[in-house]
Amino acid sequence: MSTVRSMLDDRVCATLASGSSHLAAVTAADGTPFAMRGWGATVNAGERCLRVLLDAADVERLVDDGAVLVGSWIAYTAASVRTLTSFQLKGRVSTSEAVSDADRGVYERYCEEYYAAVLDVDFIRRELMERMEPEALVAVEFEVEELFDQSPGPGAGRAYGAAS
Amino acid sequence: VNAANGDVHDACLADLAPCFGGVVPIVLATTSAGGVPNITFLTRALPVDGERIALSNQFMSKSSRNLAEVTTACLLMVRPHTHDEFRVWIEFEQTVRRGQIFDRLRNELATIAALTRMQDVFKLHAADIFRVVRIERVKPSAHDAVDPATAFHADHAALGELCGRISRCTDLDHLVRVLLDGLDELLGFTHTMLLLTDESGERLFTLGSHGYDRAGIGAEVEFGEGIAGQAAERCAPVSVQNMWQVARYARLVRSGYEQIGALAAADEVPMPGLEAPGSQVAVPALALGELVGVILAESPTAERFSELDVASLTILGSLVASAVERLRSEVRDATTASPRAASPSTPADSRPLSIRHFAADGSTFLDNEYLIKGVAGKLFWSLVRHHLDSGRTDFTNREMRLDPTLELPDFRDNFESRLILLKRRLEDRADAVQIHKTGRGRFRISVDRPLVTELVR
Repeated sequence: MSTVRSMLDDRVCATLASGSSHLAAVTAADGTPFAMRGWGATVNAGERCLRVLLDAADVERLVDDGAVLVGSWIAYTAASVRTLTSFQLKGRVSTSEAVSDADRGVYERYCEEYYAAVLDVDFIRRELMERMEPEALVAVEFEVEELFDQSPGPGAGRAYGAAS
Repeated sequence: VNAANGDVHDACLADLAPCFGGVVPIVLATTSAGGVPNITFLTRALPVDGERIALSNQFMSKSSRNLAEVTTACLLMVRPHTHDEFRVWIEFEQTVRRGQIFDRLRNELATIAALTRMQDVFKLHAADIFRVVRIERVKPSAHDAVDPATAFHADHAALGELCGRISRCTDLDHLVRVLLDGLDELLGFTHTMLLLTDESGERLFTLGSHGYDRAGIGAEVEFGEGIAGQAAERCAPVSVQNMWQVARYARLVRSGYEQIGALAAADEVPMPGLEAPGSQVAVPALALGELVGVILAESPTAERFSELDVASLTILGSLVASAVERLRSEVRDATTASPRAASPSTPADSRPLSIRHFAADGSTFLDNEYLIKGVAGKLFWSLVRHHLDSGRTDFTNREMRLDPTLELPDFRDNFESRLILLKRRLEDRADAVQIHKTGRGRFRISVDRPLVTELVR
């Protein structure tokens, strides 16, 4: 665990915090994967616990189908739109709860910076990006147990900082 | 909407066709038997038929391990023009390492590799075939899709009109202009080039262009390099609808390999034409199974060309190739006698024009500025020498083709296209020496300044 704590460095936090595309995956009740968008993340508790924002409709649907989110594994990826630097963080969900005002601020900043980067790099208009926005959010927390550098290149998919 | 295999789909696979263009990367989620999920971005994916898709198995070791345990995967796909998002569940069926689908995916990866000379890195190991189990619209939109419908849709009437115009062309120079002007005027392709195969059969040279600040006449590209080179090498259409992303991605992968010393630093293949193209398409011009050249179209906008556009360009490519071959053979067979000119008139401008010619490769410089090289350079030198030695201004293609100093091959001598290339380069530079067509298989040079020549052996 201490290895992971040291791996959540400035580079990882910067990729999570600014102008990146966030994605999440969990395993549904039937054992199949379920992919969804993430809508912002906050690194908490000495940079080991990640609080991520998910579409409430996706989470409700998973729960309605019988999934027990708390205790299940989640994979969360942040990929920088500008540099394609990409990290995947994995851990077991400890909390799933309604969003706070602070979460809404994280969500708004995430959208602003993500949309600006996409417009800047891929010339995709904000109105189109807004079509994907969720109507409601859920906040999910997990302790990062595995961290992978997925930036394109020869090291893609390797454990990040595993040697440290 | 579509019921298949007992599942209800919000859309059919055909509706997702634009998602495969690569403008918005496709996300693949897999999970292990122990319930640990994994997310990755796909390099390439293709629809196989109405029920199946193929994914490139290239850098996906973790996903492959998961799929060996849990054979269902989940994709997130986005329609680029509307940003409608779909969640697609797929069931692994088989891995293929040969066949049509494998070849299509391999060729798409080869196109990415060709942009940064990474053919050794972007090698497709296998294509994984999946059956689509369920398609779900992620968030049924309360609003109608805002579809700017930016893609061209070349119509049959316009295509027919352009074919007619090309059919009426009587020489190669005219043909190039009619093709490139017509592609813009009638079909809306604003940035285009016609490249022809050179004598070696390993390179293309630009014979004409349209829509650019710099004409780039004579610019060369090796087979296999860039979009045009790929179309030539495969003798098949090649298109990239998201050039920015592909180039950025390929550049990043390349720099990673350079940093660990696995690849030597190298310049990128220079993109012909637009500095930052959003999409490009290149189609081969084939006649009787032989590659004559390539038509390249590009746009500053991503996702600009439809399959119909590729089909239209392919039709025009075939027509142009046949016309080029026919014109070459007609001129080759022409028996017009070589007229001889009277003594040359005194040039209007008394400033001497310096011509330096390098015998080794035909490189020719006018007033120390590069003009042209190769066969066209040798042809220019020969014409200038004839003019200075005997005062001649009128020539025939037939006699010049037989000039041994040009070192033309017996087969596919390309003389006409080299002559047009030289003519266009001289026009482009508005030089004191110009070439004018005077009849089928005949031409004249005009010289407006005294010539001072230097042959470098």
